[in-house]
Amino acid sequence: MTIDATPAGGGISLAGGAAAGTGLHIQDLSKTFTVGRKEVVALEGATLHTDKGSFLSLLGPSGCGKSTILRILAGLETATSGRAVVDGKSPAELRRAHELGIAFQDAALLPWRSVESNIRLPFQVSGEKADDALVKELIHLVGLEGFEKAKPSQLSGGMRQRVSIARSLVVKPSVLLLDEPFGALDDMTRQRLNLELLRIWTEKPATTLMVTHGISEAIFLSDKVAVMSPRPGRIKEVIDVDLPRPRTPEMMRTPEFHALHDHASELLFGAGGAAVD
Amino acid sequence: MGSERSRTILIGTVGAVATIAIWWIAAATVLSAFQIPTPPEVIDVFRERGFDYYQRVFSITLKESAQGYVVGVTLALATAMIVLLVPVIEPIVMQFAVITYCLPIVVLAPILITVHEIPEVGGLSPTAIDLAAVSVFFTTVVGAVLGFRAADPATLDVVGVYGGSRFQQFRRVRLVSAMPALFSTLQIAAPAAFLGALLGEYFDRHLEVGVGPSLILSQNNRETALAWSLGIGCAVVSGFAYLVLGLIGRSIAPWSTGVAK
Repeated sequence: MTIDATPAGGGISLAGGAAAGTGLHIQDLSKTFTVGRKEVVALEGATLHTDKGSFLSLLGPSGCGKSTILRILAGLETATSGRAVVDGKSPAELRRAHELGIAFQDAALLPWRSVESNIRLPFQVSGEKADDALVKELIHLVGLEGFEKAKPSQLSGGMRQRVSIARSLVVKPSVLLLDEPFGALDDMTRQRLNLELLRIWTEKPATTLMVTHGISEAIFLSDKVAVMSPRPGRIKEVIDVDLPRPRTPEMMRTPEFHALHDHASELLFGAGGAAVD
Repeated sequence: MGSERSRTILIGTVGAVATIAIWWIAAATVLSAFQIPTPPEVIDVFRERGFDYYQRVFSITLKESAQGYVVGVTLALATAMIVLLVPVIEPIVMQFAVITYCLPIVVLAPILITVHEIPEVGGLSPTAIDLAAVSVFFTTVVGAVLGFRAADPATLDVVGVYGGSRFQQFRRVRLVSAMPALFSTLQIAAPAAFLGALLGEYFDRHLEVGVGPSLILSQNNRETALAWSLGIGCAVVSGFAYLVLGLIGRSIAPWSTGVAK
């Protein structure tokens, strides 16, 4: 895998890859659900572009369609109109090529399988040969050595989420989809896991789309943050995060970080903001 | 744990003793005009007829129930699986299952009896087997479909995203997560199969050995104590099957839910 926009590269020339056809391309994406006789517009005309190997966050209040974008990319929903491709491939093609990795807010582990066996699941589903060395490496990477044989019910919420992250990476996905991966955890665990995610992502880079409602974590992790507004779900603004990589927790206390945080807050909570009702 | 268990046993014993006492007293006093046998009279019939008699009679009915149970449950599970893999046909299939449930078994009996060969002496009644199968079909289809549907949608999504088909979702997720619900359905189906077989025997006048023919005999000869002894036997047999399936289900539940003992 050759990635020109490596995480250490600074994430500046993000628009450059758009013409080359690599990276994430979402063009005028819309989704309308029919609830009874009523039509609900979940997403309207969303357009987003990022480079291959970059980290994009969708930030917004609930009901702004951010999960809908992720689910369309995962092939779990179909768009009413518009186009969503990664490296020129449609969600169905990405699925077939086993290039997707996904983690949800709820770890979604199979309770009867051990940690190790849960991480192996994608191999069994796709019919590929299991990469034992990679499974072992990932267990090490997420810090779960010694828990290989444990069942999910014996783990804490944070540990379960680590298993879920390890599982999302086991097929070496070129596209990583994270749907509020730490949304159900307490604040301290969440911050710690964000740091771990950053470290893991630096070691195993992938074009990443994360859905979140945490402003700090979106800015801290991402190259771009798309702020969204609800009813109908729209992209309000895309913020370029020009903080250098590798990122450290200390950066969260810099004026640059605060400026970005304030800008995102203003978009969400300011006059006519996305989260103001 | 220990005290709770002994309390359960105590309540069970007290309940059984009380039931027998009420039966005895009622049979000997207020209900004496209605030919209700007292417990000693029933025990006498058990002793007179002997264990061999009951074994011979019940083994026929049990074989019929078991065969019908296996056929009915297999068909029901296959039906539930097809419904999940091809959701389009669900309304048709469920309609068919409801019809089998709404159709009184009593109506089916004469139709089946004329269709089937006459059972040989000491053989099984094909009608009884069929009715046992019909008796378990609907509840098992509904129970299995509900069980298969109970799977966590997020885990199904995970399997889908990694390129898994509906069959993969079924095999890797639905089947195991349905185990607890499946076993309670199978548990309820066991006494239902026995009742179905018994009804089939009761209607199949060509059958000579079985609980059904013995019940008809007791009815014709006004041997109420025999009927009571057969009734108690039926309850014991059904209860035993229910208990065994419950125990299997209980040993599987912790595994499928991943709860450590």
